[in-house]
Amino acid sequence: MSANSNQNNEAAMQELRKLLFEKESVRLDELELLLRDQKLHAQEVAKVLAEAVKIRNQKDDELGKSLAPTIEKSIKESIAKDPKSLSDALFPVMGPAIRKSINNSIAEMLQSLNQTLENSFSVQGMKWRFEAMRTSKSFAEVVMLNTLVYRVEQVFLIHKETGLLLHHLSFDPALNEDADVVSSMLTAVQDFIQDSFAGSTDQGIENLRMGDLEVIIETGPDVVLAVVCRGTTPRSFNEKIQETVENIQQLYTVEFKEFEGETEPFQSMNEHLQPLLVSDFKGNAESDKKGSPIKAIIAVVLLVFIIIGWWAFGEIEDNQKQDQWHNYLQKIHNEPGIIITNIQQLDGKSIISGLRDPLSTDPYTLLSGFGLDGSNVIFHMQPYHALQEPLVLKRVAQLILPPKSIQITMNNGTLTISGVASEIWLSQAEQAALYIAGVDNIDSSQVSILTSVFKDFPHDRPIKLDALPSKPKKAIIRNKKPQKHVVTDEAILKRIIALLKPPATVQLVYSKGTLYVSGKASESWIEFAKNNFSRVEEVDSFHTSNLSSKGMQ
Amino acid sequence: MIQKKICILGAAGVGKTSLTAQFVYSKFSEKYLSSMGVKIDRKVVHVDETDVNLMIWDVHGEEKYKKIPTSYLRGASGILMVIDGTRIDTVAVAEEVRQRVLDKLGDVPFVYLLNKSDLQDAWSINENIMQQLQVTGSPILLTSAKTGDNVETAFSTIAKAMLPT
Repeated sequence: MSANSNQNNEAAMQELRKLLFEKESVRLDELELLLRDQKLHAQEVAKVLAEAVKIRNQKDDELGKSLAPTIEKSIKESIAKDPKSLSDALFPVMGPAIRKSINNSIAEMLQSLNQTLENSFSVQGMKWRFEAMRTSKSFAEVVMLNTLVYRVEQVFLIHKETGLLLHHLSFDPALNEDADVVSSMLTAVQDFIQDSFAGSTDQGIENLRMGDLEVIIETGPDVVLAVVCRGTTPRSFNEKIQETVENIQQLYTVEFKEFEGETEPFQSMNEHLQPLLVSDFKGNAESDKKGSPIKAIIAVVLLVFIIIGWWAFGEIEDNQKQDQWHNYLQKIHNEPGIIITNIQQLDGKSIISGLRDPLSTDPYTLLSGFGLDGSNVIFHMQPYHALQEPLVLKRVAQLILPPKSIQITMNNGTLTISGVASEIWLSQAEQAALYIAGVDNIDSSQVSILTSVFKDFPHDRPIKLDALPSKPKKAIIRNKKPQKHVVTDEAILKRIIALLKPPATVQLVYSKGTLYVSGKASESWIEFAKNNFSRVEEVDSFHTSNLSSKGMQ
Repeated sequence: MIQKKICILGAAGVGKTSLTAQFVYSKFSEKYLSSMGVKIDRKVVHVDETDVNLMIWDVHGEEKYKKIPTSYLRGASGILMVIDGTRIDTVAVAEEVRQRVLDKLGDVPFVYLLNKSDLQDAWSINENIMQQLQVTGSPILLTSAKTGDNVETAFSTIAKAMLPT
């Protein structure tokens, strides 16, 4: 009973809870879901993320600092993954930056080249060296003193309304001390001049000059920039000052308007004013005036010409080489006994393949005639027998060894032999020539047969007929009766003298087959003459009755 | 450091230049005063733990035919108005100049310096004049350039008056 009532109570409590806290319970469930469900969490954060970043950035720089390593890492990963996408994104920035850098480098190079040219070898340079020696100053110091065109010594940034100094730069720190007073005084001077001369117009002083010292004054709505220079500044420098004032005016408008004497906010001016603290030297100024570093340009142009010339010479040489090569190939193509089947280029060498008659002109020896280098040409030539007539003729000549008194020619396969020859040589030659390919007929009708003058003529180099194959059937045109060669006594005597070479003390007379020898001669010559006179065919007998060997060695 | 431009004004011969001469850093000689009508000096004063660099424009004295050029007043944050305690006419000149300054600059702090306080025998500033000056609400100091009396105070008073409270 008691348990039952307990249960009833519990159910009633449940009911009561449900009635009282149903709404809260649902909300609690929702909140619990929100906390546990990562996805929902992210969605909630996403709603406020941009706003949160904005607020934090306004507060301090911590967000940037904490994100930096992550961003660096992502960039690294992005590059590792695909460098192209990042390089595409950076392209519009990189191009101008690189161009600017290159332009600067070239300008600097030209300038230093110009100065080096100017100072190293000029009379002026020598003078300065002498001056440096005389005054025991360094050469660099002398050059600087002589070439200084202008130097910016001080830069004052002045608040226009109060004349108070906002920022000051100087090449000499000692000048910093009075800068504030000078600044005010400069303003007073401006006011004074304006009051005295310009009346009520709003024009201020732009320039003050004393000797080589110049104060350039550029006025903006709230600031005055006074630049103290020694020497003559180029026109472009004034533009630079103007740009600086415009720039500063734009960047610090609010600070100028709210200026109450506190100069702290203007310490960052340094980066704008520092570029004005420059100096320039003659070399640079001259090039500035001329608008172009003319010497350097000439040097560069000359260099370009030399390069072009060198290249063109190479081209011409190449063309010449090609022409020479072409002419050479033409030449060996026309050369009898050479057939070119292939020309290859390999590793800078030319390989010529083909056929070559051993009796033809060696193509290698022709190279030098065309100005070509033989070491760059390789010949792969197979031997063959050419049937061109000049080569056939050569081959015939090699075989029959014609004496000087014989001429041989080839025409349409006919070998023509003419001149004077002995019967035996002619017949051997006729037989041998027929074995040569290309010789179809032999015409020896023009040969005068010489009944041998010397009995052994012309047997110094006999033709070896037994080495030849069986005799081919070819026509030999020959006179049926060989012409008898008519020989005078005088001619015979000449041959005898040529053979016996008699000393001057001997007289020779030839008549009708008999040689009469008189005078004095040595024993040995007489012996030689006796043994050899019969070698002249016409001499039958030898008379020596009037020949003595007395007193001869 | 805070910089402020002040002008020291008054009739001719009231002792403006003498007041500043011994107590300030002078770069420029007095010839500027006669030629250009102004000489600028510097004085650093320490006020309420702040160093204030005062650029003091010592403008030539007001005369009948030589008025103070108003362009020198431009941008001034405070005025030291000097009166010669022995010459009563210099009070009127001071008043005239004060009006011109107020026209040009609006409401800027003034400090009256009744100078030559060492010359008590010739002193001619009476109670009436003192009341007249006190009406302006500006501090009034008796100074002596000769003895140096109140000169430092004069500069620190104007510096204090110019700083935001």
